[in-house]
Amino acid sequence: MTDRWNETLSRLIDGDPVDPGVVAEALESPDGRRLLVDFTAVRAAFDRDTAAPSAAFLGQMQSALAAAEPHPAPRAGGFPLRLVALAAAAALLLGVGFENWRHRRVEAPPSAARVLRFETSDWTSVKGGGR
Amino acid sequence: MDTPTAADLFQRHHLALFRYVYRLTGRRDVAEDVVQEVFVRVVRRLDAYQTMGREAAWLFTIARRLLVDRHRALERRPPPVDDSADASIPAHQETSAALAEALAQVLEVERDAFLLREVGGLSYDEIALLCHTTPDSVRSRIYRARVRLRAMLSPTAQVPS
Repeated sequence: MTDRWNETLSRLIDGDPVDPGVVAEALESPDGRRLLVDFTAVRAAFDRDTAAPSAAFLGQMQSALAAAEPHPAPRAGGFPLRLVALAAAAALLLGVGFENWRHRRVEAPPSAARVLRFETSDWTSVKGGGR
Repeated sequence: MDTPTAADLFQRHHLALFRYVYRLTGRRDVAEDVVQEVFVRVVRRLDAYQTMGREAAWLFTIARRLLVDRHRALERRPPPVDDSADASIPAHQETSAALAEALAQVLEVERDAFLLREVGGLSYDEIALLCHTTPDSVRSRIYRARVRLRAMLSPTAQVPS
């Protein structure tokens, strides 16, 4: 068994690119096959590791991190607050503008529905002016 | 991409960080202290967090720096067996004790690289960056650690000469 096999099979376990020729050479040998199985067993042993922090520690950390959370982000409904403020200001300006326009329309004289035009004609004076 | 909250990062990575420090030092109290300190720093520096790198690499970098800082104060010993949390589950206790004993046979630099890969899931390049070495050196450290560990953890293995 060579260091080349050790390193190649170790890299293979880790998903690192390896020379297929070296892998084939290693796996043709019973020692190489055993090495690969053993490396897999090492991986499995660490996968079974159950070491974990104490429940008290986890509780303290989760409480502390929750308290350390920043105040609610300056967002509303998924939009940045600045955009929301701009939209509100625009809506306010539009509303004021519309109201001004509407009042101006009420105070203005009504527009003419029809136009009467008086033109000179062959008017004659009739004595007595009666009809 | 939104910056994750410290609570999100804790939820996702605290176990791997704990196991990395615990398996490296063999001390549960140190592992909890380091994990706590990692997240104190995360809370302080989350605004500066760049999403260009991976979360895990960032957190393990902080943890490793903390361990280096402690190095002088903490006399690192081969990991003692400390499985009080697993006392009610004998099979798990056996596994944990076996890991501790096996890791005690591995050189510290090899153990460090191996745990960053095996527990932290970091790439060879990320480990090289953390350990101030080359990816080739990381590959060597990891396979040497595996060769030593197989002698302890695999029933078919023979002790390497």
